[in-house]
Amino acid sequence: MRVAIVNNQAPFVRGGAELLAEWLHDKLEQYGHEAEIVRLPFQWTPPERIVDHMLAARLVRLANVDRVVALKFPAYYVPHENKVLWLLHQFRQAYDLWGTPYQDLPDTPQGHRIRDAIIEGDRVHLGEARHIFTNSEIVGRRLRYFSGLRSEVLFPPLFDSGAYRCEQYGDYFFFPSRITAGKRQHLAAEAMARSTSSARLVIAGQPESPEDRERLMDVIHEHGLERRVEVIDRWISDEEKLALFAGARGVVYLPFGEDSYGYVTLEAFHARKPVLTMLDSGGTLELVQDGRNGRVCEGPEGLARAIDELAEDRALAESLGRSALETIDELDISWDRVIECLTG
Amino acid sequence: MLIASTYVPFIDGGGRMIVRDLARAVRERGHEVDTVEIPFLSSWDTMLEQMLAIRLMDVSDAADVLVAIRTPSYLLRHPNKRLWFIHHHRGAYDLWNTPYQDIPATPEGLGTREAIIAADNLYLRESQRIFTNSQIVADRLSKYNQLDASVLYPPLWEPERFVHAPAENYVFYPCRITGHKRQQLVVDAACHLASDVRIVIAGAPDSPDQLAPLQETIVRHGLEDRVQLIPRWITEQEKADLISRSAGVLYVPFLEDSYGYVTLEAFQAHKPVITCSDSGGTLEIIEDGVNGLIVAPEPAALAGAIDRLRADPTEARTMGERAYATLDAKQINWDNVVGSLLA
Repeated sequence: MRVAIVNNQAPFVRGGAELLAEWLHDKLEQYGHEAEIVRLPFQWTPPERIVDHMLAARLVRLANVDRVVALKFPAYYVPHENKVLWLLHQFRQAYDLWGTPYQDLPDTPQGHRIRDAIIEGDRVHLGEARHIFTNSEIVGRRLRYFSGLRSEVLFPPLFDSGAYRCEQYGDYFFFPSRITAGKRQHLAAEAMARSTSSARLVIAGQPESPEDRERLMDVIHEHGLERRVEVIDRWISDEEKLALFAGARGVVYLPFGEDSYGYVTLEAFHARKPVLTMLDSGGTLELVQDGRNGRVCEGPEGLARAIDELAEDRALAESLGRSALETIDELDISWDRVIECLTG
Repeated sequence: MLIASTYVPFIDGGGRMIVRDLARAVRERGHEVDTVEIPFLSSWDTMLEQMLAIRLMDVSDAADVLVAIRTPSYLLRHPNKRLWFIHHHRGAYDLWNTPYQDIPATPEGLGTREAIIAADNLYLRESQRIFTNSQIVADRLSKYNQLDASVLYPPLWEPERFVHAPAENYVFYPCRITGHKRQQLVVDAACHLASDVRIVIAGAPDSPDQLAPLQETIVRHGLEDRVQLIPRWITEQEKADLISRSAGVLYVPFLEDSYGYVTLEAFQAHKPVITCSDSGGTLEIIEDGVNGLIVAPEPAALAGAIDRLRADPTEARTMGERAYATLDAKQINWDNVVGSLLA
């Protein structure tokens, strides 16, 4: 069938949603469908533009298309009789971020009216979809709570999961991610300061700013961890990344309060590595089960103990890693399932 | 630069190609570029809503300059807008009162037509500069909207793919096979040829109905040795090869706006182009006896022009050289396009 993947567009900006749309596009074509990405421009400042763009999406006509798969607010308002949602998120500033420092919308009568319009728009129009899938449980729970709509979780798979391999359970833990406060590489370094084993930590990723790099390096220098913590402070190639996954004892991924499980978790599981995460990491907890395929830790002290435990017990790392791979099958995280759900 | 256009999903028209080519050309010259392509269905009964949708979209913070291409993408809000206008919604303008009018002359239809024209008159004027892809379109903007526009001819992508080779004994017509491209006229002309020159026609038929009459004519008149029909989409490489070895290229559509990429491809390969006096945009760059031949849309006249290339190869070669020189004379190149749009 002819599938239009409908996404927002902020010109010149590419993020996770753009990547997912492109992966889905390529996979749909591999599975014998025709696919095209439709991007509707969205500008959220000044705030009254939000309502303009909601109406705009409503007035667009998608002809010559058998199925619409819509990903984001407000592009998901586009009318089509055969529409499914694969919801990455609603406009969180009107929902769970309202009343937090990330609210963005002004706390004025006008700001309240815009918020009401968004909530009402979602409540009325999201229900038009034949089916709603979400990319995580938390997005589904919010949709239920705020908009009264049921949905089903459909975890996004990796584009090329076959590339991940396990070669050994070496002497280091691997933490791949953009280096930034929200990903908390500094917390991993603090745990290393408390660790009593000889485990090493390899942190790899592009620092988001020089300050982000400094924050991390300060912790490392303060505790004299230069020989135990290696920082590769640049974007690493796929080959480097795959090799670092393949040889790690385990993978560390500690974002704060993320919605999605994060591709790092899934990459680690495909490479048969246990994942160490934090109780307040958010989406990772939808995949990581403490003591089964990884460790869910509290504070740097807890993380240090988990690192030492796995550093001293290679068989445990192997066993958790085996279960990690099984988790993917149990949750049926696969393109077979994604294509079946979205085109069925 | 943000390049805006409209399109119908899953249809790869000329409008999308020009967006892609322009984006690459702008990027190669060191600018940042992104494209906004908005789905748009040209059915009159939802057209006004869809126009409103585009008007509601604000991209003013996204780029220093917006270049809008296919109608009505110029409705997008941006403080520094330029237009490379490829055509109006013609059903409301020059095709109104013709068999191609696509809006009914009912009260609703008339209201829609008026609104389209009013929106064009209002919002086209937001552009700092208006360029068109042909003189015909510029003339229409002047006639219907009282707007001045300059012509900015769309160049080929990677023109160096088309090179000159010595002329062999055939003329070539590469084009989608469909009524208004008039392959039938070309096959009919083969009956009138006095010389031994052959005609090669290549292109995907729009439908089997478009192909059958051509094949019938060939069989009925025993033209199998004179006309070679390749009724499929040929690769760019095949096309470039067939153009470069030809004695000349035919491009004889009925009343097109633009000169057609075929004409440029032939010129790039130093080949003269034969066209018809009612072909439209081709007449903007083809001069009779200079870089090609212009004939009446009749089989005998067309056959005469083809024979002339065969009879006087020296003249044909001279016309081919002048055809190539035309590209420079008319400044048909990406430096000119990018420079003009950013000026």
